[in-house]
Amino acid sequence: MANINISCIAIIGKQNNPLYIKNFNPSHADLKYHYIAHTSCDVMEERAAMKAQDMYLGVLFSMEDLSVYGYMTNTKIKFIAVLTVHDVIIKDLDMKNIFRRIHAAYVNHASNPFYEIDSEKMIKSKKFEQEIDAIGRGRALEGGNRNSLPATAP
Amino acid sequence: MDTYPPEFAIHLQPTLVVSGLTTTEDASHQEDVNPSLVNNDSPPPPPPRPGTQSSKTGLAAQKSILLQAMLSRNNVSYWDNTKGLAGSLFYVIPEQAAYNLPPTRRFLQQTNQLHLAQQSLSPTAPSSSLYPDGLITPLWIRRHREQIPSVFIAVVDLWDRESIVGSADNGQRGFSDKGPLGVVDPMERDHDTTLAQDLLERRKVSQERGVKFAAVVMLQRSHMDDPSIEDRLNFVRKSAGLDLKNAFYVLPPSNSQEISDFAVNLQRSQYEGSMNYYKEQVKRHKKKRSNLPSTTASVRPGQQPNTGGSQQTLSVQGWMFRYDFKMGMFSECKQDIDNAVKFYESAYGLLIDMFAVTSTITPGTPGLQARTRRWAEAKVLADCLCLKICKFYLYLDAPSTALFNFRRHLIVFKAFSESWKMGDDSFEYWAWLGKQYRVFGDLLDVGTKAGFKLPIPSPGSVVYGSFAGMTEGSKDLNKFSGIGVGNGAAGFGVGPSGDAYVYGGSVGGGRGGGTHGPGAGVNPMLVLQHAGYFYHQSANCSVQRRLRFEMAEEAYPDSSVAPVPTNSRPYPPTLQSMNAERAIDHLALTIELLTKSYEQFKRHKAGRMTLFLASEIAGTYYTAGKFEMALKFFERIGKTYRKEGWNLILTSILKWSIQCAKELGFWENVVEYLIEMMSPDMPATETKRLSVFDELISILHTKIHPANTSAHKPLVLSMPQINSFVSCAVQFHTKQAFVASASKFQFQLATQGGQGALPKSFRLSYVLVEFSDPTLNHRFEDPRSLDQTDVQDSLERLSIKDRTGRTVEWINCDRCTFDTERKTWITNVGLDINPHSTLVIEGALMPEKEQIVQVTKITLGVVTEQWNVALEFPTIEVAQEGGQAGTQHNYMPLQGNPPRRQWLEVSRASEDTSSSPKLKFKHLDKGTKRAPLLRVVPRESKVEIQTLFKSPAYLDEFFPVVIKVRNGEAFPVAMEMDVELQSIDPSIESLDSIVLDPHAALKSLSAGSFQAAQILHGIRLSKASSPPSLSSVLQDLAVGEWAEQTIFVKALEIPTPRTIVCKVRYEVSLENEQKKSSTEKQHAFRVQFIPPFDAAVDYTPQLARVSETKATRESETALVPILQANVVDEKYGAVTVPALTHTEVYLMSTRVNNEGPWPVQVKEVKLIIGSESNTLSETSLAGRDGAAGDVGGLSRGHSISRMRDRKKSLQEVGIRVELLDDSSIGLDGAASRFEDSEDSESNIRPWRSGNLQTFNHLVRVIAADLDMAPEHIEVGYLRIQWRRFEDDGKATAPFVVTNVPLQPLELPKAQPYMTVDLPKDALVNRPFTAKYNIHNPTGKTLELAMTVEPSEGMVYAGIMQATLKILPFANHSIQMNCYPLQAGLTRLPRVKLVINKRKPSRRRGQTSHQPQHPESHEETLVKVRGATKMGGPQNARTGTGEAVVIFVKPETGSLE
Repeated sequence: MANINISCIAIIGKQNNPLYIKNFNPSHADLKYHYIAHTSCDVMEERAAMKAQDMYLGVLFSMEDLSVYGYMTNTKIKFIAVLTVHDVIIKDLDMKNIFRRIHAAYVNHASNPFYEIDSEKMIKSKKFEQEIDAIGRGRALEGGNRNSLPATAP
Repeated sequence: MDTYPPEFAIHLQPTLVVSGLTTTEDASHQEDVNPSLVNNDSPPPPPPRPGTQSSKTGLAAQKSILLQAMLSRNNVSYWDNTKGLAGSLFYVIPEQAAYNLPPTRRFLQQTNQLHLAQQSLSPTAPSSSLYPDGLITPLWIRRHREQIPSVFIAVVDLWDRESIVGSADNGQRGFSDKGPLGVVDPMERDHDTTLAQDLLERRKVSQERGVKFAAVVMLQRSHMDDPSIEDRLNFVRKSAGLDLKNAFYVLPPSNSQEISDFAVNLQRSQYEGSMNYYKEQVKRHKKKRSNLPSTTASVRPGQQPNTGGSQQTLSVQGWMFRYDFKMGMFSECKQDIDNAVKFYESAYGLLIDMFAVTSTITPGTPGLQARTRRWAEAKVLADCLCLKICKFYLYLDAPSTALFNFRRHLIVFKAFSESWKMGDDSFEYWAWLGKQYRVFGDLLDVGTKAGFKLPIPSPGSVVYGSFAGMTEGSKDLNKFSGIGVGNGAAGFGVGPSGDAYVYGGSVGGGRGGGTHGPGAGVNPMLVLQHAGYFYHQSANCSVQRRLRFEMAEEAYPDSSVAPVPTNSRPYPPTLQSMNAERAIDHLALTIELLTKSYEQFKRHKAGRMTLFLASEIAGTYYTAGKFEMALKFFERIGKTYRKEGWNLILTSILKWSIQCAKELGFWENVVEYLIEMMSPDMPATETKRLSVFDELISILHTKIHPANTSAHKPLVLSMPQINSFVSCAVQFHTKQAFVASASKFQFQLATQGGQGALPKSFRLSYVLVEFSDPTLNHRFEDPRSLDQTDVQDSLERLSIKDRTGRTVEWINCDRCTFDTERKTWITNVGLDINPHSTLVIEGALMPEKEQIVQVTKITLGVVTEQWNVALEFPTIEVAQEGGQAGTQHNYMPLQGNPPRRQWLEVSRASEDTSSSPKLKFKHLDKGTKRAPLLRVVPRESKVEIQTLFKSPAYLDEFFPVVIKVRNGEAFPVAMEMDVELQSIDPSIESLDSIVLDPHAALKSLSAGSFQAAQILHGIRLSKASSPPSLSSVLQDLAVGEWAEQTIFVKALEIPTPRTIVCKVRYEVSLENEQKKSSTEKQHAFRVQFIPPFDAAVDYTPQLARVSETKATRESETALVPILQANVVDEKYGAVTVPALTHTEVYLMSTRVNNEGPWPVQVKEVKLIIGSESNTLSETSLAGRDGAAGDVGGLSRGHSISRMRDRKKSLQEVGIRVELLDDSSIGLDGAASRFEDSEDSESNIRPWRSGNLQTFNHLVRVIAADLDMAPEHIEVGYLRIQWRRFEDDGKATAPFVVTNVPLQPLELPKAQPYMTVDLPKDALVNRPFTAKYNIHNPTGKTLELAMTVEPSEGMVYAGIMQATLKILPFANHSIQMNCYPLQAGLTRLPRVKLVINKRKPSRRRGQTSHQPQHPESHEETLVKVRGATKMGGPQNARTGTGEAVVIFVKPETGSLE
């Protein structure tokens, strides 16, 4: 896990609209990550069409020193993690864990009855931002185990 | 890839030289041998005696085909992964006929001809370009590729006598026959010997070099017939010392297909030899390499003296490199990719080491000096080697290893570049890096086109390694350069940490396992992607290169003055490289690379990536100053980002677009982009927003702005297609409204986003609301100029702040004036869009016709001196329709449902005007989401309709229905009414009718001019008191007054309810307009119809009366046509016999029941006999009926038509029914009296409900033939003339006629029967005689078996059993003498007659009317009929009881 350096976490909606994009790496402008998130939609759709059983789609592409990983939920919500990679082996298990945490955060957010699940607006939620921030910065969130999917939560 | 020496880059193949196929001239341009030339040799070989000319051209053509076939697969350039025999085998070099291999150097040394040797390419030779310390030159590869083949094939011709045609002996052989003795033509032998010598020579030279030699003899057509040819060929072969197998070939004249097959087979057969050749070469160089001195100790002294000297010779390491490279090259020629990559990697390792400051392999040796010629050469060599290694790994399907090598190359050279003072802050480094990426991209592109499949990184299945440790190692160059060399030949193949990369499939637990093991992972840097990514990288490098160059250009602008070298970064470039760089168009290069990348992504269907690239291309165009191109790109890509809501990207694109448009002076575009930039969805800081807003205002309103040199064309923006800073909507307060009544609507204009989204107030010039009915369009105008702030209008306005701090302003604008010129409703109002506010303008519209009013478009306009900007908001339906038509117009704001309808309600809390009214948004339609829509309907009618009638109604009567209409309106109106009787079944023409005046209808009925009408139009309603009329002038009905109208409904036959609809129409004068609107009210009701009467008939046979009347004779005359003696009935072809005529008399007892609940008055009841009307003509019947009374014509006509069918059938069967006696007089005398006293209606007594009346009629039925008669005879019907009886005596309806059908009469069958003739009574102990008459009415002779069964009360003497025969139509009588023993009703002994039908019965005639005998029973009992003579009351039909009884009187008493 230590070698994973998350630069950006992006959540993309069903209509390939951005729901949340957070930049953790000031060396690139937000715009760059927006572009990357947008371009990865195609790759994800292609990848998802090839193998349907797993939500984790692995590395989508690498561009310069950025590697893009994808994860698509059954409801076609796409999660993207952009890593800044300097020649390291990224274990799939680690990536899957990150995506599961993102997924859990998203599910927590979507469970809010006041959140319009089909709205195409960007997600604005303090709690959600905190959770994503914790994932992006590679630390556990204070206040218990919030990082598992709700199904396994007590 | 083309920038490198092709020898280093192309894929090498074994070389094959073929001589003798081209002439000297041809050899120079062998490339353009036209294939069409080859084709004209496909026709069959020339004729048997060809001329010299043709034979020569024939041979030349054959050679040309062969050459073409050999060269056809020469086109391999960079990529050939077909491996060996399957692919194009050789690189074929055509040489002229006299060609021989260059002699080896050793041979030249031996023969002291060294000066003839080719120029040496070795660094040891002073003439070589490599002298003294060069590594390798492309020339060396070229030499091995083009001059020193692995196989040498000489194509030769066999001398032919015909080639000297024209000489003295004219082609004749010197000796007539060589014959079996082996005598040969000396001339031929001479030539053959020369040829053999020549071949021998070449073979020897080839052998010396280890080159495989083979000869191909091409025969001419003339040789084919020559028997000596075999011997000649053998001679040549043996003399030249050529092996029969794989070294000597004969090619007879063939067609092109055969030749190309030959060419392929030839190459195949030589392939092994070629492989051996290269194997030997590899072996030779391996040996040479092993002979080299050690790199460590022994060489160092030798190196010492040369340090610093320019004459430094090539180091041992250099030699090692040379040999490794050569071995790699030969292996590659051998298509031994595995070994080739090994050698090349080893060579690469050695070469890399030489770049280091001091070599680690030959310790102490200094590395190559930067920017020297050798350094540059070596750099190119290293790049090419890396490329080759990568390519071979791709051949070997090890993409990540290839990528590893590539990336390692980049990392290593990046480190070196630093030491060469051309690190990543120099354009030289970026130029080099860009080139590397580009070349690698080219390689992938070529490879994928040639069939290479890119790997798909699927998680968990592949384990990749990394450069772990290498990157750190590379910081210390010496340390790095030491790595991997390991032990010589093993080369560089293994990475720094021993297992730098592990490729799935070759490693257990990798791809084969396919598991998602916990260790599974991917180094994303080693995932090979398609060429597009590398081109993109290259383009990025190109951008960096340009930036660095521009910096250098700034620092050293003079192209003639060399930069002064410094030791501080950035290190200055050399003058030479600066000048070279100046010649490069960086931007064009970037665009080219981006376009290449774009194409790659397009090919891989990554649409969004292409958009990203397009944005980069556009950016480059912008930098290059090609704003128009840039703008075009931006516009195109902006759409997708807008549609998918990527607003940050869109903002960036808009910013770029604004810049471009400004540069181009496209101010309309600038305004459009600025307006979209104002949208709160576009992420921006507050200051940025303000600057956007200010810019827009200054462009729109400032005259001196550069944009406003002239007036602009009207600019129309469709707001749903861009992100808008305001939203607007129109709502109707109600969903429904009446025509010409005012209904309220609100125009709501709200700023999007929260606080600060709109920095300042934005003033609109007008708002135009367009409805589906253009006459309702509203236009709100703000006449103020920009600097005017005070609102001058006197409109009612309210304003509040809601909980979110949003200002809500409400303006009442319901007093608009109609502008006839513009055909809109106009009013002036202040139209400022304030930050974070909602503006609601309430208006009223008054639709003038029935319709559905929708909002079609809302336009917000800004009009200044130079500008006329319209922001259009089409409503959702309109926009969606448009969106479906276009493909790219499905924009964000329109997706999903329409918003909830909201209405800003102004509630004035109390009468107290001082307290300000409250404003609150309320949901309309209970919050359902729907588009605003106003349904305009006509006014509701206030008319009341009542109907009065006495249900149920009788069929046939004129049933009166009173319709009462009350004017419930507030003013008098004139009304018309339509009444319609709805038909029961629309598919059947109804006979029902509806009339206003039944008497008139009856009259027209009797006149035959009556039209049955189910609808009455335009009944003008007037006051109840005045008489109804159709023609009178329309009278107004006063308010609250009732109008009354009676209609009469006459329904026929079908006793079901009828539906009657009455519609009242009238026109209403509207309150404030002169126009009138028509209003209608409808009322429907049902009336049940039932038949008025029900009749039941009893028929009693009156046997006794038959003889009493003279009717028989009368009827005979009446039935003349049928009953004339022996007349053949033409119709039926049968003879009618008077004797067959059968007459019966019946008493008809008819009971008529008044079924309904209402009493009726009956004027006349008459039996109409079916056959009575038979003789009468239709007209006379009608006339008589007319005289008889006012007949319901429709009913009559209908009945007649039905009767006619029945009449026909009666005539056919020869039945005639006569009315003998009408005894209805005896009932109560009424019927007969009615006939006389038609006028005195009051005398007619009513039949109350449930009353039963009985009528007796005596009828005679005369059948011409009983056999032909039907079982049932319709005797006739009762015609009843009646009308409804009103208790108050006021009968409005006339008498009508109802025909009541009667049950049919059952005629006896034509079968034998008995009648009994008995005395009136008998006395005990006094014998009497009973006479049984047996009748046979059939046309057959019957055989009857008679038995007499004894009776208790009577003694019978006579035969007990007998058999009788009765002839057709004959009678037989049996007399019985009986002796009564007891008094009272006593049964006579029973006579049982059984028809014996054992004999086959013959049928008489062919008529189908023959009665059906019950043939299922063998015996039929003959019944006793007509025992009515008996006086007893209970035995009216003794025949049925099978007992004949007689009343026996006691002996003593006498009743007389």
